[in-house]
Amino acid sequence: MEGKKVLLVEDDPLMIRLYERALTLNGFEVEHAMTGVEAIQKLSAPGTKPLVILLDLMMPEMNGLDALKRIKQMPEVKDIPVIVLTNLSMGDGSENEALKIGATLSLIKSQHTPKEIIEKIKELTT
Amino acid sequence: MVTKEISRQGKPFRSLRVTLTLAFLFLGVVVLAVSSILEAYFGFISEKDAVQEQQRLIAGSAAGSVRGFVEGRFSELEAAARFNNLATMSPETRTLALERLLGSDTSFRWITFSGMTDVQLSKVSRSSSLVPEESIGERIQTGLHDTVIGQGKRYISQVLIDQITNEPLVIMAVPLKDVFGDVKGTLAAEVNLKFMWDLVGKLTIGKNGLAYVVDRGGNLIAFGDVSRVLQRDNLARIQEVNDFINGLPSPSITLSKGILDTYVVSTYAPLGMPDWAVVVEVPVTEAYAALIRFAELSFLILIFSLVLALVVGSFLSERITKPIIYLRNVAEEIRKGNLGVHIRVDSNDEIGQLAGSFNDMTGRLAELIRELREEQARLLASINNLTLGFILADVHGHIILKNSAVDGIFELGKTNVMVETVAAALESALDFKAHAAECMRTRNVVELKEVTFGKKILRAVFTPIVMVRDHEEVIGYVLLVEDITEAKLLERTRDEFFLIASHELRTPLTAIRGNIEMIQEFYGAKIKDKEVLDMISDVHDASIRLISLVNDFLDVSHIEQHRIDLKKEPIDLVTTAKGVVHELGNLAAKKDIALSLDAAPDVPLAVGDKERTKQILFNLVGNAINYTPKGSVTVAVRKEERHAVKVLVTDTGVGIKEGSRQFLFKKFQQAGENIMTRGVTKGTGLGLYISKLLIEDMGGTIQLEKSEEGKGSTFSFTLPEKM
Repeated sequence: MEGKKVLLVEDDPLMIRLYERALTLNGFEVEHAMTGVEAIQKLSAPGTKPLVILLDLMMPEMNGLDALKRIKQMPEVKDIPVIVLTNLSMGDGSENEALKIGATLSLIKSQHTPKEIIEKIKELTT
Repeated sequence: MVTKEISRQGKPFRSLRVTLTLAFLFLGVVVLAVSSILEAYFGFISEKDAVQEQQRLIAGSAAGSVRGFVEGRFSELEAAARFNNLATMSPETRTLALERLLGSDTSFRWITFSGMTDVQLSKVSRSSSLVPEESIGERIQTGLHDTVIGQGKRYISQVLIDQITNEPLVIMAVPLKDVFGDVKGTLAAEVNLKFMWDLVGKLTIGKNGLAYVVDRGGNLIAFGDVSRVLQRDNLARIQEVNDFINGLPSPSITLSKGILDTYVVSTYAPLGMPDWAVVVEVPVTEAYAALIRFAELSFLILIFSLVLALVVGSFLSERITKPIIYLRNVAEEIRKGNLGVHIRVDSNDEIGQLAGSFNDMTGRLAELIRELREEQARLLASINNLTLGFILADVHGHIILKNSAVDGIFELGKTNVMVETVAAALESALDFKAHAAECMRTRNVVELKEVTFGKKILRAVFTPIVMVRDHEEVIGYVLLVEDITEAKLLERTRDEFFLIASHELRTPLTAIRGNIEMIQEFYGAKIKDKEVLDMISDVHDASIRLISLVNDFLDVSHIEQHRIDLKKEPIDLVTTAKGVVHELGNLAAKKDIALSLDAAPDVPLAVGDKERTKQILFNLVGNAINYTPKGSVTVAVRKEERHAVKVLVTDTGVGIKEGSRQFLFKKFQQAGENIMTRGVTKGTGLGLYISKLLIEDMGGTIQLEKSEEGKGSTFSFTLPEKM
């Protein structure tokens, strides 16, 4: 399955394992970063770029929105679709903030099952 | 002060008493003056006739006297001519007779006797120097001859003036007739008129009146003042004389300047033969003495009346104004705030009534003020007991009233309650003046939701005080200050709780659901024990219910705090309904329920939040399927009146009991009678409540159209039509 790489940026091990399983079971290769800083480092490193980035918004060191801004400033990776994931729904439109910065989708984890998220990734990569 | 109050229209103060006195005075004077003038006028009219009559009589009598003088001379001449046969007697005898005649009357200056041919046969003279021929001119001679010889009549010449003595004189002549009446000669004499002066001078005309005689030329012939006669005064300038000269008929008395250049009432009487007139003059003061006396009397009465009117008017006006002045003084007392005064006016008239009204008014006023003070006390007590800080300020920002809560909020302390301190404390906390000014300028309430004051969080509300007098006027503002520190802390705690709940509850739930789902999908076939598969399925359902519960809680919290952004986008409700019907198709099919859409052809676009509308419809259709054991669920979309679009969801389910209907859209209520008997329902019971909050925020309505137990229900919601 070379080339079907997904970068999962997430700090909660429970979530990491859930999405890793779901992605692996559906035939994706998962690269994983615990923080926004780590994600930027991994994206800057030479090698195959991921097809899709799954980005959690609430993380230590550099939060998801800041990481997203940086990603969108990097020429090599700025066109990679970013799916923003969060459970932090304040109902005040902070989810839409990510879409403005350049995220392709903004999904609430509790409202979308892993299966639905995989469906969205498949739609974006084909 | 009183003066200022009373003279509102800029006129100086004048006491009512003065006005009334003047009015009485004026009234008295006018009545009296009018009556006097009328009486004088009519008195003058009647007096005038009397005076005129009297003057005529006097003039007539004076004329008689003068005529008598002339007549007497004629009589003497005629007697001499009749009784002595002058024509036939000897010249000596005749001269003797003539001399005797001359001697008997000193007014004769000379006497002549002439025959038919005008030849003087005899002549006697008082002085040898007197020459008859000189005084008898040609004209007189002719006139004398024609009258006496020709017509046998008396003759009197015009007035002649003695060149030496300047005395007036006339020539008189009478015919001498024989026994048959034939004229035989002429007896002529020169008569000195100065003998008439005494006569005229002695005429008594009233008390101070006078008379004089003029000839047809206006020359003065006889007058008491001889010098005037000797000066040969011509009196044509005097109106009566002028009237006589011009032969104006019916001489009437007039008021004009007389011979002495004083105003007189005069008239004249012509003598006829000779051609003279007697003019009589009476001084005006004498002629109208009665009238003048009456005027003087009237004037005295007027003066007396004035004094009387002044005294009586003053007395009356005092009587009238006394109670009014008393009332004025009492009103002044009331104005000063002394409401305890009681007016004692005993008179049973309008002023008495006014006093009664005054007493009623002050009583009512005192009562009102007492009520106001009570009200004020109650208000003050209420304000002082407010936990809100209450500050009442005028337009200049001076604090008129504040309660003790203000001191507490601004930590001013009891000893330090100066107005400036409060203002300074406020100033440091918020841009006090600018907000107050804005409040008074716009006349709107200015609310500051969060103001930090030290460690406190305050809410401040400026409310303008608008007073309606002639026009609306802002006279100050009320500032309410509330210490919301605790409330804010609570709110933050709650927000934090929901944030944590949102993340910390959802994340593990998401993991549970996600993993179970993957177990079912990828490992379900490997699990042979059906019991285990059922348990896994239950865990899955439970996780889904927990997640929807958390989501609903968060939704309610967000909507209640109005922390959601509802879009106002055009919605094709038919398409939305189509989508929901499609998505819930499987659920309905599992229960063998016929789910259908009934869309009218003319449905216009609605306005609202597309996602949230879908959520509402999902909820309604989901409920309908859940509460319907068998039968059908129909979604209908209709155009409504009043520019709205309506969606109806009808089921053939269990229906809703009458008593439960009122709780349908309440928080945590499902249509069960009891929280313990929720039957086959699933979910949180927040769905309809959330739907109601959302639909109302979008300007629509939601309701239970109808329901029948065992037969089914119809729910509906509307959204405004896109215009």
